[in-house]
Amino acid sequence: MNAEISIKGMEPEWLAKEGAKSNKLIRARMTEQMGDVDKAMTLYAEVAQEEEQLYAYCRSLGLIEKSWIKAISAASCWEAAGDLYRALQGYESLLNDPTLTPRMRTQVCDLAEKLRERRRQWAAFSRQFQNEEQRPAAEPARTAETVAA
Amino acid sequence: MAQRRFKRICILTEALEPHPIGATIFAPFVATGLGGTPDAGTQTTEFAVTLENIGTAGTRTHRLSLQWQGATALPQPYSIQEYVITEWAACGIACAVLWHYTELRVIDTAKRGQGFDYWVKGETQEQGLEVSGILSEDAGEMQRRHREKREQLFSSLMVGGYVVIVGLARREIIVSYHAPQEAGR
Repeated sequence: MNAEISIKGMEPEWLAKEGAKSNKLIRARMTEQMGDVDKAMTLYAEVAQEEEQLYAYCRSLGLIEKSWIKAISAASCWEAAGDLYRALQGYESLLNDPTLTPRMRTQVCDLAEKLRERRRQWAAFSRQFQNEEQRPAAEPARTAETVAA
Repeated sequence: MAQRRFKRICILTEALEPHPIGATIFAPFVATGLGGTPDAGTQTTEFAVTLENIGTAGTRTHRLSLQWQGATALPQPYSIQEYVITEWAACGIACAVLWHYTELRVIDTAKRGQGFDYWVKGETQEQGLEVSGILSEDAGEMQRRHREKREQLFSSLMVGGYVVIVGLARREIIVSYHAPQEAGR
């Protein structure tokens, strides 16, 4: 991709939707940095859904390159929302697009691979966490009575 | 080509308003980053702005008075880390100066790691906007960061666009335009 991204034909209503979606994404990032992770993740999930709508709209207008950017953004927002499965589905679905340029394909492949690695790390962490939870409690402290006996 | 004359005063709220991303959200961070407190009234901060390929080819400098409202500053005490305030303050100042010097609007956020932070709307196409805020007083840091961010602008998508470096402590801003053809140079 070596040119500007066309937005020709986008209706004002959709441009406004895109602006509102961006504002929500900025709020999600701010909220996350200020420590309210639960609220941030909810906002990321909402943004991901809105990016998917924008993807479909851009596709319907023939704004293919812009639609790829929307699809990548949607996947990254699913990732930020903690839905790694849906994020990976987004990248995989984009990789099935035969019109994807080789450069873009390489980038999406890299993003998908990084996400798989992150998912493996999450699985390892999750197992470790479960093991910690299931480990029998340490020997109970002896009370005065048991010591006396 | 005749050089366009730029206004010397930029009113923050007016320059943030036109951006469809709702850039007024950055105003409290700008006010806080510039040392404002909620009890302060209208404040003016002087910036030395370096413009590269903005309005006309080449580099020139401009003195800009940024006017902002102290009342918009974050209520104290706030528990937000300094780098977070710097980051969002720089975004606000970048949106304001982009509008002031080019009348371009920021219409979309970019994916993290996409090479730049925002998408800017031209006539029929979009280009990138990479923003960076610096707290350091070191003059060389501004130039170093500018070179780094220019590289970053082209690191993923070859669409070209704008780089804005905001030196909050130095009261210095660099605004530059980079055509897509600059990629790989």
